[in-house]
Amino acid sequence: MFRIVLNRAISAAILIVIASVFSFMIIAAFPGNVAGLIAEMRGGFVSQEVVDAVAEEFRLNDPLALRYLHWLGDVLQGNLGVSLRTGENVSTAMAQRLEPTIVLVLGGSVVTLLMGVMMGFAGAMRPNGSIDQLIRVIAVFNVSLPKFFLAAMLIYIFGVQLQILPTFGFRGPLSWILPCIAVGAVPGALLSRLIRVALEEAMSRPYVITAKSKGFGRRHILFQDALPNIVPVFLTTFGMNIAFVTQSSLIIEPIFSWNGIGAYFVEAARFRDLPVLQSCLLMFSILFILVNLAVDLIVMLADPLQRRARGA
Amino acid sequence: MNSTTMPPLEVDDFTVTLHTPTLSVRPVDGVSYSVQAGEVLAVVGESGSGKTILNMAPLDLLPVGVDAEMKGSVRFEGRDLLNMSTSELEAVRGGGIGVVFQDPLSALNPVRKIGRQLTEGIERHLGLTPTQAENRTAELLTLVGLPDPKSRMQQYPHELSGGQRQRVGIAMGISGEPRVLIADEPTTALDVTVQAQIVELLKDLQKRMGMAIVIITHDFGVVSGLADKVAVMYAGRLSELGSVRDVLIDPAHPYTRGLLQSVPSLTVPMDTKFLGLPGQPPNMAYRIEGCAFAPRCIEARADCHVNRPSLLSVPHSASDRLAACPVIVNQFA
Amino acid sequence: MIWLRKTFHIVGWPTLLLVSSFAFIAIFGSVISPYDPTMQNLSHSMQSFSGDHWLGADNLGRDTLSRLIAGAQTTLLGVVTVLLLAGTVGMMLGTLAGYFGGWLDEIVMRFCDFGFSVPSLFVALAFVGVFGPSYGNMILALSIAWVPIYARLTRGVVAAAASQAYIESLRVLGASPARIIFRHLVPVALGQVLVYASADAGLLALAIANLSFLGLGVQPPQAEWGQMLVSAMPYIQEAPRLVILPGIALTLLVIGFNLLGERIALAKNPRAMSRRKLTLRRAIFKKELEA
Repeated sequence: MFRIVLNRAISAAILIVIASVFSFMIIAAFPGNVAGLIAEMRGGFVSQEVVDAVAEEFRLNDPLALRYLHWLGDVLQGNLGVSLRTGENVSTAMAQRLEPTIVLVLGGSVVTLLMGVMMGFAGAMRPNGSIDQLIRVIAVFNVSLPKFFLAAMLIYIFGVQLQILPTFGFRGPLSWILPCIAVGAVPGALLSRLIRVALEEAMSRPYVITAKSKGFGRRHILFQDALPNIVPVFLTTFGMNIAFVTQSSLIIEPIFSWNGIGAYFVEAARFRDLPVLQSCLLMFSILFILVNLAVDLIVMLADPLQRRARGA
Repeated sequence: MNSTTMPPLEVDDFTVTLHTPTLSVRPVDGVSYSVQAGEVLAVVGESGSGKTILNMAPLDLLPVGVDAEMKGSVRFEGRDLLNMSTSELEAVRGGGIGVVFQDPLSALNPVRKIGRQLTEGIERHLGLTPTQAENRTAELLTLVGLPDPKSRMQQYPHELSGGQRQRVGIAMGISGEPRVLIADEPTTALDVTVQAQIVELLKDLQKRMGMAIVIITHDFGVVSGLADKVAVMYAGRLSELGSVRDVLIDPAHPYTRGLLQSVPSLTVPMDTKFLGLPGQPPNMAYRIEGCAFAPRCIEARADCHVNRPSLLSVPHSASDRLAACPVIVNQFA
Repeated sequence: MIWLRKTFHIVGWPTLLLVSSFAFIAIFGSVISPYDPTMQNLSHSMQSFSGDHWLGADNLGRDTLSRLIAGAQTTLLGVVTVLLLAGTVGMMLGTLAGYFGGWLDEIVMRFCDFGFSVPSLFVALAFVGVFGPSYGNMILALSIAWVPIYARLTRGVVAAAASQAYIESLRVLGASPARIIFRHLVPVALGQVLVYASADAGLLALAIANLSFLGLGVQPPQAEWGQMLVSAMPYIQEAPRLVILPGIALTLLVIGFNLLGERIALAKNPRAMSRRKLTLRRAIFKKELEA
């Protein structure tokens, strides 16, 4: 058991190292003259001396490995560099923008969970009933729905037509509702379909007949016998949904004018703000790797079969 | 009516038709029998002869997605299972009628502890508190021959051996103190040595609890070791029904004879030719007009292919015995 | 004509109709388009549904129908290009890693691991940021981000095939690695890659729209649905159709691709696989590839 945890932790650590190399390479392997670009972005007259000074400042003439170690050392000390566009310290800027993204990810996860669990179980209670059919249609449609289109429709309905919810800015719980729905609805539909399918699968297994032979009805069997069996599938999917929801922050934050990390990343990409780009990619990568690790470990702990199979 | 005189389980002209989108089959066709309290009836037949469906369909325990249409009656203590509401049937399942399944590994829920899987049924049918149910479960596990029941209850099914799992399965079947226990090939998935232990266990439990047992099997060793009465099924129909002594020693129906001959024996000389049953069972998707066994039968007459034989009393038997073969019954007379 | 009837049977006519009408629009777009999609006519600005402009015109008086058609071209061309690029490179890497194994395999798979643990859109976004926003750079970035999936897929198929007896005997008979790879391994992998690509097309259409929506892909005045939608957002109150129409077009295309991919995957799988099993499998696809 301990060894498996250790193994998983080691491979996660290796992935984090790869993520750091990858993020570093974004500047290092930049096609063309990085120093020139940076100098241009700072504005003013770009002479050869300025370019050379920039190259000196960013250590662009050092060997690659040395530059990587320097950069890594800075990152480990919490120094992510300075934005080319605004001159802000990247770590400070990211910390300031953390709150909206956390709200969005947590809120989106809540929406995902509520939608997925409620719709999934409602469908499984009466298979092929009218609710089940409706949910299936919603799920198929929803999975194909572009997030920004959903967000635009939410803005149109609740902000423009009904005018009951704010659609602009990160200003208190009321303004959280629409973005969280926009982020959580699609993965929620996906989750509901998965729960529904996994429950159906679990309900066709022989132990369900055993439970029936003990005199239990569908509801009892669904919750007592089928539910524990779908926990691994559920946790794995939900873990993936966290990645999904976080990915949505890239699109949903700009639409609702939230100053989160997702919007920061997009802005950096739009203005080729390399240090910001690099830092965002690194931070998000680490987040995903850690979430994956956590999900894997939790699934392992939650599943008595795996617990034994892997040597407890 | 007194329950000692009324058989706990009475099956009368019971027919099951399974419908799939493309075709309908009739795995059980006009079967009648009854089981007395304290009696063990073995239902014997090849795989596909309908013996499992015969016993599981009335309890609505067929696999998900199977659409079964049932005719006739299956009376449990005088009440017809086929006319019961869902909740009435749920009260009977596990309470009045217990079930033991063939493969204990898939029959037990892999991710729930054994104790919990047993106590939930006991709480439901005996109306005990959780603590009482746990004590009762421990007693049951001891009864079925599992030592150290308290720690067993904390384990998951995959942590037990096959024989131990089937003991748990049997404990589950009897946990509601049923008057009838239906055991669907309880020994088939087990090692030979364990099979004998399970047969002994069932016999012992039957004596202690005085319940009726219907055991579904294709193993004549189980039949002779456990049963009082035996019902032989072929292609969904009963071909012979009688006491174990009568049927095993002096089979009347040609199918029973063929079946018994196909059991390898250690008591015959080594060079005796092994006799199997030639041919294949009929395809159940088609309606069979005459005797279902006629195409494979060495005694068959022209008449056998046309008229479906009914169960006739076999003369000169030690007890009541029925066989669905007019040819042989006439020979006996 | 048998193959046609077979395709028809596997895919079903609603899906086929949906996808093929988008393909038709994309191919013959410049012929059927009533206006030049970039032509501005300020006197028709914000015109609603009319005889002149069936689906109305935008703030600059450009014909919405023509722009939707041009958007179909942009999107489909992008999807096909990315699938071709990512599929080819991924298959090459995967085949080499699967056939030769060793350190090459180790390196390729480690990068695939990384590509798998981070959603593709993030990787694509980072590359667009490095290359600078444009249609071509977006295609390139998406292709890079999509390579790991195909490399992993191919590597699995190739590694499994390479260990089979008939490949072993070919090697003993003295067939060159190139011959074994191109004659025997690549065809096996290609089938799998095509099946997966059909399921992937919808996701890619969404990714293209997402990046363009963020202003990182298709640049104005070139028409693309995501970009059309974002530039219509300021007018959502007076002309919601400008937001809704491209959204619906994209949704329909993605539904078509998703249905197509699902049907093909169901039909191509050698084991009879129900739809619900397929859904489950997709969900644990990552896990499966890791195994």
